[in-house]
Amino acid sequence: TLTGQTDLSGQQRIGAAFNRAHARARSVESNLTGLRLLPTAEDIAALKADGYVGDVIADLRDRQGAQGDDDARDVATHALGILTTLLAERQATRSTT
Amino acid sequence: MKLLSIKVEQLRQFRQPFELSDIAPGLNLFAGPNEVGKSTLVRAIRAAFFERHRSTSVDDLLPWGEPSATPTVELSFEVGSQSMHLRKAFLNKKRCELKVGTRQYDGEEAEHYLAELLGFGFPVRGASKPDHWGIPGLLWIEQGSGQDIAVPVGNATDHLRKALDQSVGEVASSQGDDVMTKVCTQRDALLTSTGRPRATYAEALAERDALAEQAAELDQRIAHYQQQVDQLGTLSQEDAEDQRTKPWESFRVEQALAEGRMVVIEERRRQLAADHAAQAQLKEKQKLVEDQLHGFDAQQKDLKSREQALLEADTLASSQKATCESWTAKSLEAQAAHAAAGESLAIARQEDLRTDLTRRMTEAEASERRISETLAKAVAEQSRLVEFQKLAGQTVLSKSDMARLREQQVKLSELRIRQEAAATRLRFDLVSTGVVTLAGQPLTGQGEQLITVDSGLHIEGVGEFRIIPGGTDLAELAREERELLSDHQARLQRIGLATLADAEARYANHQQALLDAKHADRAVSQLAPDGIDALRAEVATANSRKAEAQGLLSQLPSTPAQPVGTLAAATRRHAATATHLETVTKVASEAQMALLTTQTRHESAVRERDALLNLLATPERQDKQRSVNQNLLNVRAELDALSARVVALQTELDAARPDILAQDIERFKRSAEQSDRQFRERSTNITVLRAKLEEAGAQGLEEKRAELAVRCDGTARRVKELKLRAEALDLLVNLLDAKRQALTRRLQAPLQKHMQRYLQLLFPQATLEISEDMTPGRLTRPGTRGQESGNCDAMSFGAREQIGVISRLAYADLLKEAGRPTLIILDDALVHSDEQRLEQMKRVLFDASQRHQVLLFTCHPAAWRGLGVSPRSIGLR
Repeated sequence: TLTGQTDLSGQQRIGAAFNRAHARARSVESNLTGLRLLPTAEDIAALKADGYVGDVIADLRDRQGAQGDDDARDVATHALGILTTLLAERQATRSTT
Repeated sequence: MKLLSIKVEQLRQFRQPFELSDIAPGLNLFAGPNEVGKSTLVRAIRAAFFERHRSTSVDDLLPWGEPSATPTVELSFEVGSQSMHLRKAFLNKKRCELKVGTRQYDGEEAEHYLAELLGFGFPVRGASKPDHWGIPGLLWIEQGSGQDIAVPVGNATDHLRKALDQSVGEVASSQGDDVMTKVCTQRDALLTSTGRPRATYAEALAERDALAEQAAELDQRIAHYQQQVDQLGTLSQEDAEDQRTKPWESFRVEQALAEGRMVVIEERRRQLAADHAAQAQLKEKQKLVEDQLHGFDAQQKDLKSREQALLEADTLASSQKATCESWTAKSLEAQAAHAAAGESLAIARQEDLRTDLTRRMTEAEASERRISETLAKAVAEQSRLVEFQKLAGQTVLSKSDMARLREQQVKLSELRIRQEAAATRLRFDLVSTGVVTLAGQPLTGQGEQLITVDSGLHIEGVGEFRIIPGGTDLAELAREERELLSDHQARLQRIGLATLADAEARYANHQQALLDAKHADRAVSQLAPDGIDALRAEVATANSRKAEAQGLLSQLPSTPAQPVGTLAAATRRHAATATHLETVTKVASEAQMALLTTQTRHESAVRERDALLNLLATPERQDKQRSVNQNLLNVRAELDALSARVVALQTELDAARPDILAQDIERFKRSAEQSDRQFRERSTNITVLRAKLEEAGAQGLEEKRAELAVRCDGTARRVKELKLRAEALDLLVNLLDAKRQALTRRLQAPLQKHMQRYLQLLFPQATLEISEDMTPGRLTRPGTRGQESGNCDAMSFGAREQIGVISRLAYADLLKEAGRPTLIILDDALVHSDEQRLEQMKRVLFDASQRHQVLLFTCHPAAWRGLGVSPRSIGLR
C-alpha cells in the first residue's frame, strides 16, 4: 500500500515498478488508491492540451489554488489527476503508434 | 471562383455545340422557357466536377436516341488569380483535361485536384451521390430543393468546420471529444444519469452501511456483557450479606411466638364453646320445667271448661226433646191426611171407569146401526146389478156386426144412386089415367121414372114401346145390389132382426144395460169395499162390544151419595199429601237423631269431668307440683352464673384478634420462605451468570469489535475515495461540456454574423439561432403579440426556402473568408415566394453577388426584374 503524492513521471515509474514486481513474484498485492497524482506545471505543459481541454485544465488549476472549501480543492485536484492521466495515456498510445 | 464560360456538346438537348460565354463576375440571370436547357446546363456543370470521366452511370447526359454520342463539357474559370480550363468528355470517348495556368492535369489526377480545391469527394464506383458533393452540394441549389438544408449541411460539415476554425484562428481541441468520452464512461461507471451512486460505488456504500450495522450490533452485545458483569457483582454482594445475616431465621422465631399465642387462644375458644353448650342445655331444662308447670295450669282450665260444656249439653238436650215431640205429632197428622187422600182417589178412579164404559156402549150401538143400513143398501145394489147383467146378456150385439151392417147399408145406397145416375129418365105428363103402363105399372099424372132394365111402355090403344137403357154397367150394378142386399138380409136374420133400424135399437139397449151394470157395480164396491160378508162381520163385532160394556157396567158398585171431584184433582191431592208426609217424617227422625247424639255427649262429658276431678284431688299430684316449682328456681340460678362466665371469655377472645394472629403466622412463614428462596435463586443465578460471562469472554467480543472497526475504517476510506473520484469525474464532465459549448458558440459567431446580415434584410429585427450541427435553428422575430419564437422546420414552404437560400449565402461568406472558392447556382429557386418577399430576396442576392459569383436560372424572368441585371436568354435557336 502506497499513500502520498507524486507527479506524473513518479506515478508512471511506480506503475512500471509494480508491473515488474507482478511479473517476477507469484503474489503481489498493490493498493494505490491512497496515492494522489499531483501533476506539476511541466507535466501539464508536456501534455500539450489544446482547445477547450486546455480551458478545463486552467479552470481546475484555478480551483486548486482557490481559498476556502477544502473538499472542493480536493475534488479539483483529483479531477486534474484523472484528466492528466487520460491525456498522458493518450499521448503514450499516440507516440507508440 | 469565377466561371467565365461554359461549352457543351452532344449533351441532352445540346446535340450541337453550345457556348455560354462572358459570364459576369457577380450576378447572372439566365432566362428561358421550360425544356430549353437551363437545367441541362446546371447538370453539365455538376457532371464536369462531380462525375468521374470513366463513370458508366451517366447515361442521362446522352442526347435522346444517340447512344454512341460523347457528351462533352468545357469550363473556363478562375480560382483566386489562377485561370483554369476543364474539358471533360463522357461515355464513348472518355477524357478529362485540366489546365491550371501552364500546368496540365489529366484523368483522375485532374479530378482529385478539383475535388481538393472545391471541397467535395467521389464515390468508389457508380454515379455521384449527394453524400460526396460537399461544399458545391450546399451552394448549388437544385430545382425545388432550396428548402432542404440539413442534409447538404451535414455533407459539408467537415469543410464548414475547417472554414470556421480557420476564421476563428483557434483549434477546437485535438483530443477533446475523445477525452470527454472516456471521462463520461468513467463517470457513468460510478454514477447514474441522475447523479446517484451505482455499481462499485453503490456496493461500497452498502458494504459500509452493513458493517456499521454489524458494529452497532456488536456494541450492543458488548454493552450487554458489561451489564451482566455489573449484575454479577451486585448479586455476589447480596449473597454474602444474606449468608451473614440469615434473615429467614428471625422470621421463623417470630412465627413460633405467634403460634404459641395462637395455642392459648384456641384453648379459650374451646372453653367458650363448652360453656355455650352447657348454657343451651340448661335453657332446655328450664323450658321443660316451665312446660310441666304450664301442664298443671292447663288441667285446671280444662276442668272448668268441661263443667261449662256439661251445662250447655243439658240445656241443648231439653230443648231438642221438646222439638222432637212436636215433630212426632205432626207426622201422625200427615199420615192420616195421606190415607184420606188415597180413598178419594179410589172412588174417583171408579167413577171415571163408569163414564168410559157408558161412552163405549153408546158408540158400539151407533156403529151397529150405521153398518146395518149400509149393508141393506149394498144388498139392493147387488140385486140391480144382477138384473142389468141379465138384460145385457139378452140384447147382446157385437160391435163388429153392427159396423158391418152399417157399411153394407151405405154401400147399397151408393149402388142405388149410381143406378139412378146411369138410368134412362122417363118424364111424363099424362092427361088420362090408366092408359099407359110401364113394365106393367100404370103411369098417371105428372112424374118421372127411371128405367134401368129393358122395360116395355104400353099405351093402351097404341101399343107398346120397348125402352132399353143405354148404360153398359147398369146390369152389373143391379146384380151387385142384389148380392149385397141378400147378404145384408141374411145377416139381419141371423141375429133375429128385420131391419137395420131394429138392429140399431137393440145395440143401443145393450149399451145402456152395460152402462147401468157398471154403475151398480161401482155403488156396491163403494158401500162394501171388502164385500158384503165383511159388512156383516162388522155388524156382529159392534154387537159383541156393546154386550161386553154392558157386562162390565153391571159389575161396578153403585154411585156414591155425595159427588166426587175429578180424577186429576184427586191424583194431585194424593201426591201433595205424600210429599208432605215424607218431609215431616224426615224432620221428625232428624230431631230424634239429634236428641240421641246430645244425650250420648252429655253422658261422656259427665264421665270425663268426674275423672279429672278425681285426678286433681290426689296428694301425689300436689307434691309433684311443689317439687317442679323448686326445680325451676335452681335452674335459673345456674344459668345466670354460666352467662357471666361466657361474657368474660368472649371479651377475652375478641381482644386477642385470632384472625390477625393467624395472618401474622402466615406472614412470618411466607417471609421466611421467600427470603430463603431468594437466597437460593440468587445462588443459581450467580452460577448461570458466571458461566455465561465465561462463554462470552471466550467469544472474544472485544477482539471482534476491533477487527470490525478496522474493516469499517477501510470501507469508509474506500467510500471516501470513490466519492472523491465520482465528484471529480462529475466535475470534469460538467466542465468539459461547459467549455465545449462555450467554444462552439465562439466558433459559430462568424457564421452567426453572416446569417444575421442577410436575415435583417429579409426579417428586420429577427434573430436566428444556429444549432451545433450548424443548421438554422430557432427563429425569433417581432409579431402581433410581442416576440414570437419558433423552429424553422415549422415554417411555411416559401419561408423555409428563403431561410435555406440565406443560410447558404451565409455559409458562402464563411467559406470565402476562409479562402475557399465559392460559386452560387440557383436553379429556378424561390418560385414559392410572394412579391414582397421576393423583393427582399433580390436585395439579399444583390448583396451576396458583391462577394460571390451567382448564377440564377429562371423561367419567370419578369419576376426577377429589378435585380440589377438584365436576363440572358438561353435558347438553341
